[in-house]
Amino acid sequence: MNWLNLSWQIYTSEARKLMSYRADFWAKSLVTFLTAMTIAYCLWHSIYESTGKTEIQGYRFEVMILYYFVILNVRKLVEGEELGGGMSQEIYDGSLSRYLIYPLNYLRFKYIQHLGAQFPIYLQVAFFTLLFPLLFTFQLEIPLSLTHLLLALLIIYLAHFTQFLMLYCIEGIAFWADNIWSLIVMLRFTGRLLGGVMLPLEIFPDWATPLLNLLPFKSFFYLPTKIMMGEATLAQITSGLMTLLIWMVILAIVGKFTWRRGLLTYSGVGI
Amino acid sequence: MEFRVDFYFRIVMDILFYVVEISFFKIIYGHVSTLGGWTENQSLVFISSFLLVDALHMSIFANNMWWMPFFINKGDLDYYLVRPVSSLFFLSVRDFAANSFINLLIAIGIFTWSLVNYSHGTPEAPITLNSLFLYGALILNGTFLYYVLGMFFIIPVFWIQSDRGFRDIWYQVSQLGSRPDVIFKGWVRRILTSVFPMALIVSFPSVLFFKGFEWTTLFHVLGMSLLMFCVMVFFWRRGLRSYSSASS
Repeated sequence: MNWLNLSWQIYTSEARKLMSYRADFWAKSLVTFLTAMTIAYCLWHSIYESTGKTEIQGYRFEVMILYYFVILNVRKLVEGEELGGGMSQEIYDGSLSRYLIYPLNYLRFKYIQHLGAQFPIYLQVAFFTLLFPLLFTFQLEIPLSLTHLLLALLIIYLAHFTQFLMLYCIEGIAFWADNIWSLIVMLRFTGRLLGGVMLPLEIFPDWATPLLNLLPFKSFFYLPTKIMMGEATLAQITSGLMTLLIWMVILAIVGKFTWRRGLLTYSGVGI
Repeated sequence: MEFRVDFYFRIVMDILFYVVEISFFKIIYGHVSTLGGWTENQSLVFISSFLLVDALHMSIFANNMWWMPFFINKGDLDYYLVRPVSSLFFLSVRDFAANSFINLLIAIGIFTWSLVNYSHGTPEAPITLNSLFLYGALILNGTFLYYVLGMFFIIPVFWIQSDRGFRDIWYQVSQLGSRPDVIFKGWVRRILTSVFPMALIVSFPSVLFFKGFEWTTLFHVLGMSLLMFCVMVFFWRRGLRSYSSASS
């Protein structure tokens, strides 16, 4: 069985597994989306009302709501639904051992599983995209071209892979730590603040800009969102791509080192 | 301290959570002077109160609520049902989370800092010992209400045998309580103050503290808390009737 065939089996198996809990993932997804959009809508409506301004840092109210709609969907596409890839649990319960024996690359296997878990999210994002014009009757002109869309999807894919590498590094800590769930949670909410999911990055104070540019979170969520809104410059796109690629290399090296050292301490307890 | 690394990670996680939540408001107030009529100091009192409620909840209830679905599904509830104590009470408070206690101390520190900042500003209503005492009592009531509302997402396990999704849904909707109720209008506000009263956890007590005492607001908060508790207990008892233990 060649790698493509095996990858397809892994991908579809994971997608089918998640689709078997249909009511669960639709209910969860709908509630998450509606809650986040309700908070964003009410918060910014209150802000625009209390300031009397029609624009805040270049955002009109309608554009702000569109921003949140796009970035929430981008966040779903990049982060996925599951907290972590289950690698730490396999270390704890010893089920990692079978992967060490199998003739397959563990990282590649887990990544394809991670990709398979994205499948239901594509359906959710498509559904929410159809829902948006029903919920919000704004008149907006969005200069989105096919080039922009493809570029945004490319960056989303790279961001998704980089985020997976981050998880790979964090979950490798499970070789030494008894519970790494809190590290993943930290990554999630830090990434959401620094990636523009909680607030657009233009709202941040100027002194935060170098930090935001250095970290990959801006390229995870903010950059693809701005591309899809037709507001990203070539310089921003280039800079964001470079940041992503550099972080990808760093995380790949750190992940490889962590797992190599970790496997030396692994005892397979639990089997 | 058996799992020391997890202990320290959770402390760091909660500290980071506090930083993120406070930063959220600090960044917004870099562009506005008021949010729904609330000043920055008022919003900081609000968010630090919410963090305090969260820390209290994590210390007292969260771990216990985490385990309830497992007990229900595996039939391990028997051990608690035969005790001459309310099973709901026993299951809800049996375990105290030591690592969250450290975060509780940090949350109390942040809460104190926000109150000191607020008192140095220009409070609309005078800050007295009575108002502080009432506010503290309402924060404790808010913690209890937070627990009660969370239980509505656990009790369905009695019937559907899975808490999958419910836990995540509760985490999402609880975000509504971490924003001041003053930003919500219309039917959203009505839901958050009556049907699913997240706004009564910290927001309404904060309004009482900022604007001065009002009997109607106090009765609203306490009355809804009691009503929600009674409804929760009703569903808990109905759930116990559907419970099938491991031994029978």
